[in-house]
Order: sequence, then structure tokens, then C-alpha cells
Amino acid sequence: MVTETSPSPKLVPTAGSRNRWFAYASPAVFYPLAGKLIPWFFALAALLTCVGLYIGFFIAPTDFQQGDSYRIIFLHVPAAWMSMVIYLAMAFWAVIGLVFNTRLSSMMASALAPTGTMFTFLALWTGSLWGKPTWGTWWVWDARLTSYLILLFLYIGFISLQAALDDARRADKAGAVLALVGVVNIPIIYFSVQWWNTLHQGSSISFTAAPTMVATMLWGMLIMALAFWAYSIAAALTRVRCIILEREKRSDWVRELVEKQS
Amino acid sequence: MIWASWADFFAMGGYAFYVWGSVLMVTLCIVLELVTLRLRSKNALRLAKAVNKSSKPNQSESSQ
Repeated sequence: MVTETSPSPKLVPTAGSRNRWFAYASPAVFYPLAGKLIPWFFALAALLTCVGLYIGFFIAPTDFQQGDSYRIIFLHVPAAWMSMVIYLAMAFWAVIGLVFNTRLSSMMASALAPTGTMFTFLALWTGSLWGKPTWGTWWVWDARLTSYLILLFLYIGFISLQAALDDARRADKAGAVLALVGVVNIPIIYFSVQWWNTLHQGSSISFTAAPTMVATMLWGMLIMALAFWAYSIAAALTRVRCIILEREKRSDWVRELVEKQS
Repeated sequence: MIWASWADFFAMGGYAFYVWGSVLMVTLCIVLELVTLRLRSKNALRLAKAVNKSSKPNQSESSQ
């Protein structure tokens, strides 16, 4: 079993150090750094949300086909993007933790999971509310919606699996395997609208062609996506700090930290 | 500004239920996550303090 040996806080990275990036993998170094970054990301998220919603709800014109129901796009698409990006990030950190045995990487994966679950649920919820007026149904079992529901189950599976194992490092490893296997679902979600005949429309913007939407709609959506990015980073960093404290509460550096505070 | 009045804005061209239902759920989820994060942070810090109050410098206690 891996014992939680604690590197001393003196292990601050220096400019010339070759192991600079591994030094940040030390929870003792990362914990205060994350603490400094969190307020900035929350502030950025709040600012971008205000701008994005203003553009989306006050500047972007009414769609000539869908009327104002299309405004759900400003929440639906960013939430859907975010849930897929978070899944990739979660799988990435989980695998890094598995390969390099860096416990902070695994903690990062666990910290991302609840926020990813939330955005997956929100994408499904807003999609359902959008589907009713535009398609006439809350839900269909087409490829996009079904693969998306599987994403929700993958997130829930990851969290439940980790919660079921008492030993933190074993939970990390089991979670990493599940996250890695589940990655195959991400391209399936992304390309489902091309591979299968789905009720869900194809993407309005792509990497290869000009977007097929009005500039203000596009900007509102992109700014909301950035807002969700900033929010997700802030939330995940906050949660990883909790996880660090919970797991390393008996280490030297936490004792020093706590003594300094009181 | 594309709306004639605030009432017009809230009506969302007849799609108020769908649009505001989405906005409400997103807000609700984010608020809920922020509250649980706040509680967890407080709890983790309190626990860390409690653990380190009882066991002074000596580190004989093994983790887990």
C-alpha cells in the first residue's frame, strides 16, 4: 500500500529546477496555489456569464424558425461541451495518476466528476425542454441522446465506484480504468449526428466550415462556454482542495498549515 | 434591446416555460454545487484541525 508520506513545503519549485512540473504534483505545493487561483476563476465566470447572458437574451435576435425557444442554446450547448471536456480531463488526470502514481492527479480526476455530472444532467434537462417545443417530444432514443445518457451513467458509475472503495488509492485505480474505458463514448457522442440518422440536428459550428448562425448568437454561445469553463475550473479546484485536506489531514504539511491558521 | 417591454421579455415569445425552466435548473444546480462545496471545505478544514490538535508533532499514527 502506498503510504501518505508528505513532502515538506520546502519543496517549492525554482525556475531552474528540472522537476518543476512534478513539484506541482505535490499536494503541499498545489494546495496554496489553487487557493490563490480560485477567486479569480469564480470572478471570471461571473463576469463572462453576465456578458454572455446579456448578449443571448437582449441582443441576439429572435430565430425566424424556432422563435425564442432557441435561446436555450446559450445554456444547452455550453453545458454539453463542458460535460464532454470535463470527461476528457477527468480521464486524462485519472490515467496520469495511474501511470505516474501521482496522487494529486487522481484527486483532480475525482474533483472533476461531480461538476461533469452536473453539466451532463443540465445538457439533458435543457435539451429536453428544447426538444418539446421544437420536436414535439421530451425524449427520443436516437443515437445522440442515448450516447449522452450513457455519459451521465459513466459519471455516476465513476463516482459510485470510488465511493464504494474505502482505500483511496485503490479507488483511484479502479476509477481510472472505468474512466479510460468510458472515453470511447466521447467520439461516439460527437459524431453520432453524422454516423446515424438522428432527430438531434448536426452541429451548427465545426472546425472546418464557417458557422451557420448569426454572429451575435455565436458570440453569446461562445462566451457562455468560456464562462462554464471558468466556473468548472473554479469548482474543481475548490473540490480538489477539499479532497487534499480530507486525504492528507495527518501529514506534516497539513499540520503546519493548520497551526499557522489558528 | 430587442424586447418591446419587460413583460415581452418574460413571455419569451410564448416559450417562457421552456426557456425559464432551463435557466432556473441551471441556476439551481450551480447554487447547489456552490453550497455543497462551501460545506465540504468547512468540514475538511475542521476535520484537519481536529486531527492535528490531538496528535502533536509525533507522527506515529499511520494513515488509513
